[in-house]
Amino acid sequence: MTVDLDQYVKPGKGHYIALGLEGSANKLGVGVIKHNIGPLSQTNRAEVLSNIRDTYVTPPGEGFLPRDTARHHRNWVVRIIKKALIEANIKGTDIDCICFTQGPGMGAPLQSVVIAARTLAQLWNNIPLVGVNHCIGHIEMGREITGADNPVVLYVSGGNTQVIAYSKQRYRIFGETLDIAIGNCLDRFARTLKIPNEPAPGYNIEQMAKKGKHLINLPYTVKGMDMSMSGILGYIDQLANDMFGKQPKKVIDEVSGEPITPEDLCFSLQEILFSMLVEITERALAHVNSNQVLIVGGVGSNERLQEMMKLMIQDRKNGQIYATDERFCIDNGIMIAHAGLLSYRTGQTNLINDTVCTQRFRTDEVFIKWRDD
Amino acid sequence: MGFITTSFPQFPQFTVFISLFTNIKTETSATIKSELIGANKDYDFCFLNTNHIISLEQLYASIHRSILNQSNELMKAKTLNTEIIFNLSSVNNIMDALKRFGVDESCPNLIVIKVLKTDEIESDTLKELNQHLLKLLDVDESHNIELNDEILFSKLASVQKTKKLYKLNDATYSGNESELQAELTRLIIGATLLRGF
Amino acid sequence: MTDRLVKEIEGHLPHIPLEIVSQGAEALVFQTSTHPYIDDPYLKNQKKYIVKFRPSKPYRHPIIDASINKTRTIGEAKFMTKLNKLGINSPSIISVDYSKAIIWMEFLGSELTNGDISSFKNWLWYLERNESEAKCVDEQVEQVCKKVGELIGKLHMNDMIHGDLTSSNIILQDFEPALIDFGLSSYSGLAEDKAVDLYVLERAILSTHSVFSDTYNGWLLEGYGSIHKQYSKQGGTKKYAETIKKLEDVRLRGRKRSMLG
Repeated sequence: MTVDLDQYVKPGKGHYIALGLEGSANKLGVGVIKHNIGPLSQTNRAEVLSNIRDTYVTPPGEGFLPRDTARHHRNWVVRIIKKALIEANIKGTDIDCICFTQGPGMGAPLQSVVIAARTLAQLWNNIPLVGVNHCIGHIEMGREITGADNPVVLYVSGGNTQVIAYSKQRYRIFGETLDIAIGNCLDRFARTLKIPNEPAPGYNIEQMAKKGKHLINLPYTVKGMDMSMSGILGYIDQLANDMFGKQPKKVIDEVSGEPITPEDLCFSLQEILFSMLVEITERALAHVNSNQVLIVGGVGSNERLQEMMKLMIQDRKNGQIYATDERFCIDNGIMIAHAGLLSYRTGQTNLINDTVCTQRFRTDEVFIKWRDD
Repeated sequence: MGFITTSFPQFPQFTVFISLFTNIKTETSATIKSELIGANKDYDFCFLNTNHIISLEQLYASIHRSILNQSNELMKAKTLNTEIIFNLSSVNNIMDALKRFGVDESCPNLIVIKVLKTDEIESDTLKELNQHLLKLLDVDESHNIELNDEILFSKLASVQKTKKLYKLNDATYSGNESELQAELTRLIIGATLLRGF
Repeated sequence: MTDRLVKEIEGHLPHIPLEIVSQGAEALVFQTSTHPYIDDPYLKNQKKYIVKFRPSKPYRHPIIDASINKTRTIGEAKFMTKLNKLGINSPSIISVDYSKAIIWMEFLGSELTNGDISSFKNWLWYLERNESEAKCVDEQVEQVCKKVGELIGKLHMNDMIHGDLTSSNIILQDFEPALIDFGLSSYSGLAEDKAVDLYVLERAILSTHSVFSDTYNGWLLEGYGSIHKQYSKQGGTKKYAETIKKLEDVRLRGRKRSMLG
């Protein structure tokens, strides 16, 4: 890498500290990261000083609404920031930049968090603000934590399903969902089955799927490097309603003759959706001649998805898979701090009247100034 | 001698014997038909009329596929001989295939095929086989000519009938006569491979 | 390519020398100098043939795996045969082993100066890496782009959807494009499906050939439109208008999609 990342270091200092605030969905995350000067490398890693998160959990069968989620973030943001600063053992004035999620995400929660960022920036002698694309946050944190230098990225979360690869200073989207996101699909099915939202609906589906053994027949809808999921959700929702609705109908597995259980439905849904995800990832790998995969985003912590991806990559020459644990996979503040700090180190900051959040913010809109490979 | 042989790289254990006979009498054709029904060992060959065979490639595609099906234990017909006839057809019906491609009293020409085990072939085996056929079919050696693409396409087969049989009248052709045999061969092989789907 | 896969295909095709061409997501593509049943077939290339093998995927549930491989092998063979019949450039089929998901087909294309196969992608990459910027958008590139558009236009006029249009799934044989890779192909007369097909290609061009993507995509659509005009008697003009309108919708959906974190 030949990009000079130290043009903007404060005189006399050998490191940078960034505060990151994330609140694009139902997680409120605050993190503090430290970079020493010089390019990041195996021997010069970013240092996580703190990474605190609080999740807004709704009752079973209910999703999170923007207004209520924004209220949750407003109520907690000061407490979480304080906690993060204490744990990192820093003062506001130690911070080089305050990074916030500028999008994509839900409007109201994004706004409640950016207000906190703006307030702090002014409170602490006009610390520069850096707006961060949420997806770029996931990608950069994933790369930093795993050491994957140029992977094909599968980004799977409640709001996004994208297969991304880097080319010419942009993270380009090679494949994506044509309708709903994978996490959204799983969450909505969890609501149909009235599975608890605690700790996360997707996690509970994963646990139930482990107990499923009969595969029900679901449509398989890969379209090139893209995929579509609404049809599958509609199909399995209908089936679940038939089975557990007002007039329950017994559905029998054709092979074993045993009745289909809710666990079987979770199992089947996961098997079909993850097969599609792995396939479009492999398509992108083949298309760009890569052999590294990095999985990021909340759904990326699913063990079955990781296992399937591993089996795929084993059949490719020198194939390698990288995944992070739930601290970094699930939405968090540290990734915003990290990506924001990279941006800051290349001179990209936002003036206060340029900190408006946007619900729609595509991954490939961001100019990746800190890479030039 | 008028016969040819071939073998396929995937299946060196088999050698295919193919011989062409013309001027066959109607009575002989009728006899073959009845002997085949009676499963007479002397008639354990694959007999084809030449109306719809326009190239060796078409023929070989069917033989290759039949041996492949046999080795995969996925034959649709009871015998390899019938399987070869069936695989020439684009219709998923063995009786229909036998009618179109099998012995036909109105066609005086026959292509006779036998798939042999390579390691059982001795120096005279093929010659003897051909002699046996000359006797069986009651023709003299002058009517046992070597099979090739030229004879098939311009003398023995009917291009019109073949196009009709394989439903290829509405296909797009280059219009170049010298390309027709090639184009038809490609289309026919495609049509037979998709039979049933 | 791993040893496990090499052994598997060698078991299926004994005595056939195979050389790997590409490891796609759903299939391994080999070239071989051996024809399965004849030395001088009626094909453009009599020295090289393609063997496409869909191995079972250990990550998939066996039932899903078997069903996908079977559907795609049959579907691809069917699609290719239909294209052949319609005179739309694509490889001709040689042999199929449905039980092992193997298709033998005609070899199309040639080697570029750098040794890569002459896919539309490799050719554009070659120009981008070795030639001047002007060369990347010269008349020849324009011609090829338009021909690719025409080819897709013919496909759609026949209500056939490729399903995976990328620059690597278009092979140039003497600068005449041919379509390959029909594992995801389908049949539909809906403008929506045709628009998605075009959108997939448009995005592939954008991500793979970003520098001149607007120019390339413009030419592709020009060729696509011109073929529809030629087919105006069969409703080409109307179909074109419908598909392009849908394409705009699909593009918009694409940009709107990224909603939640």
